[in-house]
Amino acid sequence: MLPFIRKQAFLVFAFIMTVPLWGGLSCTPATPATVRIGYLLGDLHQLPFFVAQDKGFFKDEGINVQVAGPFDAGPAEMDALAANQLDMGYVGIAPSVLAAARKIDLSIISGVNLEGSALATEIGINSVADLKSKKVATPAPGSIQYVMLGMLLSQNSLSFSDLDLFPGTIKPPDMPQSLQTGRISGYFVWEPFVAKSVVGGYGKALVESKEIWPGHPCCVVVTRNDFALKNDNTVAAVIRAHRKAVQFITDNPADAKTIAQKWTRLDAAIIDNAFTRVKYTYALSKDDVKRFAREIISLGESGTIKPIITAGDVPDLDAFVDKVVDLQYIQR
Amino acid sequence: MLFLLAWEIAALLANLPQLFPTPVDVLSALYALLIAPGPAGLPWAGELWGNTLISLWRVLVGFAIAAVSGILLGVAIGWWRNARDLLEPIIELLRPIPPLAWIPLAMLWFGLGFTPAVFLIWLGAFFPILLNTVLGMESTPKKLVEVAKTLGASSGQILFKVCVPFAAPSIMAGLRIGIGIGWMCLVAAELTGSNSGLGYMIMYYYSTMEAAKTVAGMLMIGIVGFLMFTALKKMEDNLLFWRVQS
Repeated sequence: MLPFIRKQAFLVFAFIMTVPLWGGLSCTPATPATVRIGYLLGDLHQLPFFVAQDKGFFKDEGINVQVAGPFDAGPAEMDALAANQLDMGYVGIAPSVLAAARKIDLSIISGVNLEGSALATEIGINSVADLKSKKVATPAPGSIQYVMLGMLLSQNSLSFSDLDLFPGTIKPPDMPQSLQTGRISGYFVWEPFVAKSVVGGYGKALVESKEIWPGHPCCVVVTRNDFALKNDNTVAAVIRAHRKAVQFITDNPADAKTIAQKWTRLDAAIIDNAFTRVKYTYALSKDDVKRFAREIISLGESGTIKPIITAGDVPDLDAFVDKVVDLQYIQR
Repeated sequence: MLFLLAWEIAALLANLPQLFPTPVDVLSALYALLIAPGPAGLPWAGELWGNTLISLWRVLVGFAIAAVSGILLGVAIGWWRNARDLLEPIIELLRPIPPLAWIPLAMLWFGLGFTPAVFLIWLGAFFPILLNTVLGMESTPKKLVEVAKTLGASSGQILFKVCVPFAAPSIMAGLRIGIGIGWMCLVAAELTGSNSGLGYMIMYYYSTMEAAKTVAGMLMIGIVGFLMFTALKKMEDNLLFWRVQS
């Protein structure tokens, strides 16, 4: 009899002691999935990332974002992705295509924005030809702005050798000041660093990137394929949050500008000016990616820029783009 | 040989050519850089030699200015107490600031390209040369000076025939350290506000994700640095032959 009572007492005791745990199990939400996401230094194109954080869209999707960066330019971010320091990244289309051509196992899974860069010059420069032999800066070689400047020069029958080019050795945030102090005559960069010179009154947007290629793709979201394979639902949740953020910017531009101001610590006038050049979208077109890769290859072949990607790196462009661009997440 | 073999095996096992190239990849990149057209103004030299020549020119100019200014000031501080009292606090205040921290100011003051790079090299090389010169001057034994005085030597003779020769080994050590630090500063200087030179070349190929060419550039920096150090050591042995004999 006594052992039976002891057993009953133990069961009752065990039940009482574990009640809080049962309750806890049923009430505490599952641990949020952690995703390491990278972004570029002060790049207004990547505003959806900050809106998603600011408005809690990632949290709503059960995602704990570990912010990695900022990176000075896309190639450095792609290296971090290849080195497994990042799971996903907001980055330009050029470095992501370049990274894929270098056999880094990634997928481009969403658009972020179209257009949004420009060639800013000193006030006295009136044409691209005026920049001949002048000091001009771009972000790192292989960045989208570097390629777009190559396209612009090609359209004007010029090449990089006609300029005194400084690619990657002046950081984008330092470019407006370099222009203001006369150290350079122009720079091709992402927003808001064009707007900063324009609003400051010492520079102008001589050519906007939309004039070079209307509706060109710019920033995209990429993921490491091994991460996506193991965390399919997490990647889908990040892209859902990203879509919400893009929608928020479209529906609430004033609130979005406030978030942009908070993030960039720039004046409202600069953000307003920059917003006129950026189109936010999560849409992504395989044809645009294909055209972009083709542009990089042909600019190298024509000698406008030093070859970055050759036809040998990407023998079958269609197969390459089909493999690299994965549209399933923006469709889910 | 063993090192190269271990590197080759490790890189092949890692199978990440975009991050960790094999020695064979690096050799092939070196060849590609040798035959590629050189930077503006030096297309005949090839990309590797052209950028190496540009970097060498910058470092030689920066180092020469550092050597002249460092030795002159060092001798002055070591010889005149007033100069030491006046300059020592300023030197000790500036010396701990890493040359790389001067990059933004160098760009503001001197713009882009050659001059800020030379300024940074001068900064890197100047302090070791200066301090070694002061150390050499101050360690001249008092007995030597007194003997020279007793033999009727003038102040100038004591300075140039006793103190400076006594300080020469220390000055040479400072020059060797200075050129090494100057070379390292040059590479860092060329990563900012530059569009030529070995540092820039490394940054360029890092940005285009061509790791083998990046490593090839790094290798060239190592080789040139080693050759400069060896040349200076040889020069030291020749100039200070009396020290070797003694």
